[in-house]
Amino acid sequence: MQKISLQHRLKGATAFGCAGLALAAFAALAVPAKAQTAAPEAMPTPPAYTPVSQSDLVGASSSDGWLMFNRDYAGRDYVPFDQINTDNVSTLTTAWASGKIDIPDGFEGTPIVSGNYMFVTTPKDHVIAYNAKTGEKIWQYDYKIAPAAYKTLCCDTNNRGVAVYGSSVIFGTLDNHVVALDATTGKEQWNVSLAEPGVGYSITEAPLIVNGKVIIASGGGEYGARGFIVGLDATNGQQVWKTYTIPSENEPGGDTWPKGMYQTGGGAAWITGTYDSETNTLFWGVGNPGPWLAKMRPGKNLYSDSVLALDPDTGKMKWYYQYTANDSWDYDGVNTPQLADITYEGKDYKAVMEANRNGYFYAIDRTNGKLIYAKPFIHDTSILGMDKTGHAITNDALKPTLTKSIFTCPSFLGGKNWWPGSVDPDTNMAYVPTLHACMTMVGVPVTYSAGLPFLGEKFEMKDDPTSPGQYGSLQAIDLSTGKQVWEQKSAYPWDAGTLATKGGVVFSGTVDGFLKAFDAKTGKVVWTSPQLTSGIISNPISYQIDGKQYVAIWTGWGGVWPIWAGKLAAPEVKIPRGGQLYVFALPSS
Amino acid sequence: MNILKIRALLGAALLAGSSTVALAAPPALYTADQAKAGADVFSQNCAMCHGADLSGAAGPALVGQAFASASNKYTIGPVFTEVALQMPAGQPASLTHEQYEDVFAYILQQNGYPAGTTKFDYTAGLSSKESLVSQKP
Repeated sequence: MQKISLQHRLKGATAFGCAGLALAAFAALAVPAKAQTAAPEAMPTPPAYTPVSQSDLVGASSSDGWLMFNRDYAGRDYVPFDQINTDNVSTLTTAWASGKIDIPDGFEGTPIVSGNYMFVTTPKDHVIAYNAKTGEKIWQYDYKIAPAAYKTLCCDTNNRGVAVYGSSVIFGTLDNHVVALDATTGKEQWNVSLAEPGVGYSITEAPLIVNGKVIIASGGGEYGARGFIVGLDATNGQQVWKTYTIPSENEPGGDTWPKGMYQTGGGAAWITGTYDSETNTLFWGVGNPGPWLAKMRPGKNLYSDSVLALDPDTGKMKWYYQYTANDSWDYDGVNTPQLADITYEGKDYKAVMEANRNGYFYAIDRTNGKLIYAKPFIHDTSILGMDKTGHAITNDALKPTLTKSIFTCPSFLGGKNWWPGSVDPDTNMAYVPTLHACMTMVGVPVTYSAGLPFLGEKFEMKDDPTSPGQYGSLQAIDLSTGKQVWEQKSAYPWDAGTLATKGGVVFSGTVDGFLKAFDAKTGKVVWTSPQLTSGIISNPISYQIDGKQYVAIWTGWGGVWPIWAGKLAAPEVKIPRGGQLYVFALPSS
Repeated sequence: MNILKIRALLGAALLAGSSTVALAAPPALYTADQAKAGADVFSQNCAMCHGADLSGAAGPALVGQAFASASNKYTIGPVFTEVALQMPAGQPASLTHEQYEDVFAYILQQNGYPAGTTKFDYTAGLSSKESLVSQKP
């Protein structure tokens, strides 16, 4: 069985070259993006740009553009466009494509579209502005990363995208700077440093703008970096507030750590959060505690593996919910906390939904942080269920020690990794990119040394015995029950985000380089793109210009799977590297 | 170890003690043969993440000041432990002890450490308190 799926995958991989040739004509439409020059290449007269206001951001769900990482503050990755629908999606064709960008790392960026401008990021913190209608390159900005930053990367050189506000395009860097560029010229407006490079911190997430503040957070949980979230003044980058995700000894929650260990406690908040404008509440996920080996830090280790509800103007915490206490398995709580109003067992709730790394699909009351329900969405041996207080019961027999090796599911990459899924108000379903794998794990001695990994465990990904050779699926989950409605299985990991649309079509990309469309109600594949130039590990978006709907996606294989999946990633070695942005639309009549 | 070697080492130690230049130079911690074999181990198991020139890509840099500057205050022990027990990522500790010795010799060589007559040893390497500062920019 495994042999067959391997052959299938290799066959897919060899077809990449042909697709590249067939699409070369489209690539010629756009100026090849070379990532070497330092100065922004500005056109003489850039297209007009309408500055983005806070009310534009609050209304982003009905915008023709794609104004923030998850499109709207609710984080739904859903568009109310139905020009492309289940009846005509099979006729989609390439509207334009960028040149191929020869950076061999993973392209995880979500394009942002504001008016006729599309702003994209590539690995290693390059930012490019395209004309979203024609594909013409307007400018490119090449950030110079401090070499020390390369010391403390865990999982590739990602940049997941920009934020837009006023006439600024704002993004974070691998060496912990936050930079604002002029939207029409790419010229730097301000540039601030949040932390030294090379000691553990790095920024890969897109910022979120709320009430004139740039909200952004660090990565670095593998290096014992104590996580933080900041609010910066969007006009000049000055820090307004900074909230650590791991409390010090005298703060609330500080007693959930052995003395002094908060300083190297991890808790990286490395994926963009969401916002409820009705209650002025920010929701942001927090990663796993450091070091990874739980036996070294008895206690719940707040606020690791949690979602925080914060005041976006002060950074003050309103409530928290911890998904996995005293985690030893790397079950980050950073997956997008998506806002949805749901009915569960006859009662209405204002909820946040999260398909968590620990393998449970959560609905949490976003007014108070209390659990509504949590249901497993993969084969799960680490979590045994929920206790009476509404928190996960961890399987402590499956926590490793220095002398005890364990086998558990899901793996350290979780039942779902960072790729944003969608919440669809039309179908009342969540679409979840899912991973199916388990792991062995054992403790190894470790002492903290700034700039070196701080794990205290070694681990290896293994097949899930209940689905060997099947590492991914896309599944739909009913928001009102937490139960699976449909599932599309894949030999590959499902390493890409989803886009849901009012047209009844869900889009997502595959590791072997296809953008696919699924019937939102049934999961049936209703369109498959030609094979693109590389694998897809990014999030598809959709926007409208002059009444025409477009769907855009980055290809560019890389990211966490090929680095950390070990033998399970062997079939993907042959996937071509390098990124290319593709934009699809219905044929012009 | 033969007497000639001991004499050579003693001589080197005496020279080192009498010369500030020699004090600043890093010690010889591996043999040229190890580094040569280590280059192959590196290209087959490490280069895909750390770059063919060790300058870092998906994984961290393993050469120059972006790897081990004086301010890092690294010693061989924790860095070699990371390599030998955690790498390659995804298949930790899957190489032989000899391969780990060789690849670490190669990393030392690429960071300006000279080859010598004494082999880099796996067990001693795990607990070595010898400082690790790259001689490369």
